[in-house]
Amino acid sequence: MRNKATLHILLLLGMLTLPAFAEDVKDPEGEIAYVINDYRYAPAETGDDPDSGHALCGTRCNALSIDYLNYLMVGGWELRKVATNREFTVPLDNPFLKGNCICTADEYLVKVITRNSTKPPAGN
Amino acid sequence: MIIPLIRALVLLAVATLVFAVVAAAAEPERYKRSVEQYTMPDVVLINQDGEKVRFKKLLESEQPVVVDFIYGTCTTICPILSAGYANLQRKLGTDTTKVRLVSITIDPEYDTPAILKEYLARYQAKPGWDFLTGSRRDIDRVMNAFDAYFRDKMDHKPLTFIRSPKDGKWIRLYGLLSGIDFLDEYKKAGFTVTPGLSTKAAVPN
Amino acid sequence: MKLLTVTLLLLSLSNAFAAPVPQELSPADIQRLGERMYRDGILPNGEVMKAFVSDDVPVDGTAFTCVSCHLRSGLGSVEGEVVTTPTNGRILYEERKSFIKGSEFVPSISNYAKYLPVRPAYTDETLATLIAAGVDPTGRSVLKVMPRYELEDRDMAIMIAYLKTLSDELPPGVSEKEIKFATVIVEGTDPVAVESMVLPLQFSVDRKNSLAKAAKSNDRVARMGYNMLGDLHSYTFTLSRWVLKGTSDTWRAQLEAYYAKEPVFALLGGISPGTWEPVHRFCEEHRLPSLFPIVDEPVISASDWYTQYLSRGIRLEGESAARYLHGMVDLIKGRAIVQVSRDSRRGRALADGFRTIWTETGHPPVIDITLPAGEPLTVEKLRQIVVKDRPAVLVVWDDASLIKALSGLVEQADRPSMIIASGTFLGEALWTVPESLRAALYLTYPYRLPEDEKRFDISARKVLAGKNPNKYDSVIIRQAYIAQEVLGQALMMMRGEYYRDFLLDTIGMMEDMHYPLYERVSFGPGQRYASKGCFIVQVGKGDKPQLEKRSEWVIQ
Repeated sequence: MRNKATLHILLLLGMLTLPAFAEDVKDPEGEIAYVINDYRYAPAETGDDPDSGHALCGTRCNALSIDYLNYLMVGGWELRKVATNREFTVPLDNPFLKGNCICTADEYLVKVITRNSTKPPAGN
Repeated sequence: MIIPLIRALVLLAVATLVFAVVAAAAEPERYKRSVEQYTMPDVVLINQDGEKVRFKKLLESEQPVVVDFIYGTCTTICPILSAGYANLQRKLGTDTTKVRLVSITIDPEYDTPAILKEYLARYQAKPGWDFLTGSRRDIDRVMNAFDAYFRDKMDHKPLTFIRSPKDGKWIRLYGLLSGIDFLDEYKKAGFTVTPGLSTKAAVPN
Repeated sequence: MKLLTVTLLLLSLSNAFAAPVPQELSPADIQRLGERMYRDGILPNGEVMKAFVSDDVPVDGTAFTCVSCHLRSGLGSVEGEVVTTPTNGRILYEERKSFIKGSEFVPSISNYAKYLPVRPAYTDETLATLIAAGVDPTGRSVLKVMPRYELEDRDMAIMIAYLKTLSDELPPGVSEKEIKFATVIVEGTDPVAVESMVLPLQFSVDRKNSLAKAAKSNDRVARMGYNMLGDLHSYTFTLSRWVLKGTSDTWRAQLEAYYAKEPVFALLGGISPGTWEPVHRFCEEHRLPSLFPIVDEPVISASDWYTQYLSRGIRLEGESAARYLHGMVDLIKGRAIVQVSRDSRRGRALADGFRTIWTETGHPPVIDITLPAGEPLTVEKLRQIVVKDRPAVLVVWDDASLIKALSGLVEQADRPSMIIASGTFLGEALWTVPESLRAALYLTYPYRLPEDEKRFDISARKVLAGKNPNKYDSVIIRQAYIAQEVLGQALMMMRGEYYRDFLLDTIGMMEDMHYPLYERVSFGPGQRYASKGCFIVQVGKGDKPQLEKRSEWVIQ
């Protein structure tokens, strides 16, 4: 009886201390996350203001960057780096300035951590 | 819930370190010094007046540049670093703009230009001392460029960097320097602090 | 050598007296004058306190003073590698003994301070020496970061008397076994919202009490509980519901009555569909911490101390819109910006947030148009505005009825290039924004985006175990979840020192947190609005669109 009570309490304590495991969440295989390392502005026309473009491309590219702590601190996820300093172009998407932004990013695959887990993630 | 455990371990480590520091108090190492080559990112930060600042251009200046990392509501480290900046400005006399003092926030969440401005006023900062905030990602890159990445503002370390325009190298100072140490380091970088006179890098040879 | 001489001189000066507390001063005077030195760096005669820090750097008390490092409670701080020890009389006047290695307990937050070097108990004389010369009773010089204060004997006596009052007697609501909390509920709040707020709080209290009960009967659990929670493991918590009825001018008397009947250590959570001001004021005056009330309109103050809010409320969206627009103001080149806002609680808060930041960033006022409450926004009304002022940017704060009016406007050739609206004001309707409007419409969104939030669902579901989630408000569940998490973490960090100011000091020392709902919440000494972020998003393409970020979480 006492052992059973102890076990119950240990489970209770376990619930308090263990990180939230990613149960019941579909494995986001293929979900890509970026950490932006650099940006530059590619004007559409010669008259486009390069300084404003550079600043707005900072906002545009940085908006695509994840806060990596939002993946690692929640528990149960990991980020696997799949590319370093990959460049890609996005439209600046600003109604007051034309042109594109060239963002440079480290690319990560978002994975549910399956090791040390007693059951596979749901969906597998 | 694992975070409290991590924090407990971090605090334990901190406590051990403090113990070690105090135990070694007989011959304290006041600060660590090294000379480094850093590459600055071309990011746009915001100063205390809400103006955009092209960071790389600001730092790659013909003037002496000093950089530290602080934030508006920090406890022990920032007051000491900022008192050092204010002290240097006092020694510079009337033309405080001859040295570019740059403080960069590590708490861009809270530190709006208005907060930065209020902070500088508290230390009676004179022209030549700018406090920068901006996008978290951009500030992360600046911290990385100085090999000074703080994951969190509570991991803050006292670091001061002095750039010599002569060769673009940075003197990295790790520790809470006394006023004399700071001025000595500043002079070692080749600068003078004669009040009122223009400050130039005294190029040897 | 020079330094040594100065130190010896200071030592001899400071050792020369142990001035008594001036007779003519009452305890209230001591409190007031001491507090002014400790917190504001102002001497009793009104002059600025002077000190030297790092050996030889002069500093004014107005730049930084005792409170900067020892914090308001006097119980010290930890920042990076720098540990600032407590400076309250109760702890200073006790000997600090060594931590005994080989203890069966793993050292935890609750006993980290025992690693600090041993020292005898301070006396008034040795404490005066420390403050003036930085030398502790063992003759050891404390870290150079402790300023050496130049205080006259009388001022020193006041300072020391004040330090003796800091975090001295346990506050109401705390006993050796129990900590009492209450949550304030304003009558008239949607019952679903109330239950969603109370559920996580009660869950947390029940869980804590189960552990305390189990630890009483089982040594092993007690030890594990101690390792995990320190001295807190054996405490039980209570949570009362204080319901406020009638108009807000009668709340103060109701709060006083509740508090007289059951003095609590802190208020936890709380909810109101409208104002919170009377509760905020009550807490300031009783020095009663209030953690994370769920309100749209928190009291905005840079100096009030006792209420910690989740965010600046709905006005944060207006502020963020202004900051986002500030980033491209050079390109708008003097063309008009028009702000249209509904004359409602939300509309006014959004408009005021926008206006305040727009002015603060140095721009001339925008054209402000208020929509009377109850008069729907029509496409004709919007067309009139556009024809008259030809704005480059239309900022419009209204509810879901806005979408129809805007949809009519986008077909017009000279429509504004950019339209900004509030994602939370639109509510679920933001998913119904038609394709034709999506390119021009920018929305403020003060939460983590839905697809990213999925990773955090587990926390909310822990609280909801066995319950139907559809019967609860998913945002409020998460907000109250944050309230109990922060409280739990803070109490663990407080290592048995359950003082009210120290609760807020401790939260101020917490790392940034990645909880459900908000991309990041952060704290800091005196910071009182935890979530500072708000994305600017656009609605993506397709039938099941996703939100696409156009800014980072925090815009400067």
